[in-house]
Amino acid sequence: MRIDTYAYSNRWRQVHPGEKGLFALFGLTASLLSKSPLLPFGIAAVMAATTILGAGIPWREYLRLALFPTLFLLWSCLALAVSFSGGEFYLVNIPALKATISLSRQGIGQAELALARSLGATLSLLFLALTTPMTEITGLLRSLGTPKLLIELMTIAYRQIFVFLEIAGQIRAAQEARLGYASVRIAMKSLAGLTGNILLRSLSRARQNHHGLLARGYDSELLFLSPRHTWSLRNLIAAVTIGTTLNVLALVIRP
Amino acid sequence: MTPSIIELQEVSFTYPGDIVALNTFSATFARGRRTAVLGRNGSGKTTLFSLLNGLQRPQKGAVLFGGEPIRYDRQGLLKLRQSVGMVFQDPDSQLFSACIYEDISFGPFNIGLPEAEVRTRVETALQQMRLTGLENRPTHSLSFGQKKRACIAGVLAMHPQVLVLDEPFAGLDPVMTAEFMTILDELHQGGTSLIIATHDLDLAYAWADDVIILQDGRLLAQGEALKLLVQPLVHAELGAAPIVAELSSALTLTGTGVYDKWYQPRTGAELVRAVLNQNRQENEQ
Ligand SMILES: Nc1ncnc2c1ncn2[C@@H]1O[C@H](COP(=O)(O)OP(=O)(O)O)[C@@H](O)[C@H]1O
Ligand SMILES: [Mg+2]
Repeated sequence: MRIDTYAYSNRWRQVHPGEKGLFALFGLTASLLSKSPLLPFGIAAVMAATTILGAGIPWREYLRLALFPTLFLLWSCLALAVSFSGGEFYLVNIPALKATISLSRQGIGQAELALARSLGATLSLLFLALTTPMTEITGLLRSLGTPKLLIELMTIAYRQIFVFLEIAGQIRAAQEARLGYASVRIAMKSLAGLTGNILLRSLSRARQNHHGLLARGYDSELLFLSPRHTWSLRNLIAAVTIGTTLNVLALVIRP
Repeated sequence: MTPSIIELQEVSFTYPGDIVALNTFSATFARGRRTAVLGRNGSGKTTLFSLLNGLQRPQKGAVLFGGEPIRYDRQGLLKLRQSVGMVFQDPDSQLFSACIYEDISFGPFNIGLPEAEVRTRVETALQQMRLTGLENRPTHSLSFGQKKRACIAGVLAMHPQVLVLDEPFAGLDPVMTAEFMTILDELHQGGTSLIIATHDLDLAYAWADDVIILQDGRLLAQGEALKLLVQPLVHAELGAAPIVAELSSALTLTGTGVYDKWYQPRTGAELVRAVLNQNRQENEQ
């Protein structure tokens, strides 16, 4: 839950979520609209720089968090570049399958663009995730008119994740204190017990939570107000200017 | 006798599976008073509380609020739940949002108050419960005591006439307990009727005006705290007597009268003061 910790403690915590959201959204659309891989790579760099230098997320942590999605993207884009029907760059021949594996020029171009776009988009979202707490993102989505049911689910699910983790941690600690993970066999048994126990506790907790809401007048709709944030004209202008420029560039630059 | 705010008349409540939690139970909660509900584990305290703001409906008997039987339709329940605020034992079952500001705004919003009024109430409740500055922290990073205070803030923001707290001191350290008592006293002074469930006899003796004692879902006794808690029948059921009361009577037997016509020490500190007072008076004579 490292992302969560940074979301609450970064330098831009008090910045209006709308401003950060706008910036991320512009980065996202510009990345996806771009027809040349150059711009999205640039956006990825801008997002990384803003997150590290602006919001003050330690660069090591940032790399760790960004590495996993990047590797994942690399692998998936590699698949785009590979061709079985004869490309320009010959790789291997597998006689048994009567297939040659090669890379095609067109495939490489596609893969490069796809990689750039997804990387730009991913780092834009990572910027938002690392600078803005979940409840504020939900609040933002809510003010943008996201369906109520979705917002309610996000609010409750997010809170319950932590309650759930705590319960699981408690049960696990109790088992461990009694050497429940001493051997693989015992560990399997303990794990089964843990799972069953969590299920039972979750059920009784769900009932308690429902009571908790009813007791304060819950009536089929989760009504609440989010804390108010003040817009900063300077940030807003910066976000809009950079964002619009990126999007215009995305539309203008030809491959 | 102060008029009653909540009254239970021969109430029975049975959980599915024939588990009888309350059995022809009758009791009265007085307006503006501090009532402690005592009883052993499983004696029905939590169940009783869930009847007080209409979370459960008794199979038999009636629950009266302000002299009128509770109406269990939508409007009736909404009105009741605004008047009777309920604070659960486990804060995690009450706090639904990771943001306590959002959580506290929930109750007042449900009553149908306009946004500006809700915001004022949230701010006031945050201040009242000494939570200002914490509203930007995620709920899961708060301490147990802070979560507990957030729960109370969420209920106070509805401006209830009665505040019902299920074992509010369980899991709190002595410092937090004392802080909590101060807050409860402020509320009591403001005219809120307080009802708490507890196992702690000493605490009930020190704090409560009235006590209600449950035994296996039945009413064992009801009355003024100072009179009732020293009765042998209470001692027999709860396995102890308030330590201050025991000490006081022991001291009286040895000739140090700490009881006065109108004064009876309720806490250790008060008892010590009474003894010192007594000594000084004897020396002066
Ligand atoms: N949700 C439930 N389902 C079934 N039985 C319950 C439930 N809650 C409480 N009980 C039973 O009702 C009785 C009273 O419990 P409770 O009101 O929680 O007592 P207390 O709060 O005084 O410990 C106990 O026997 C308990 O096992
Ligand atoms: Mg209980």
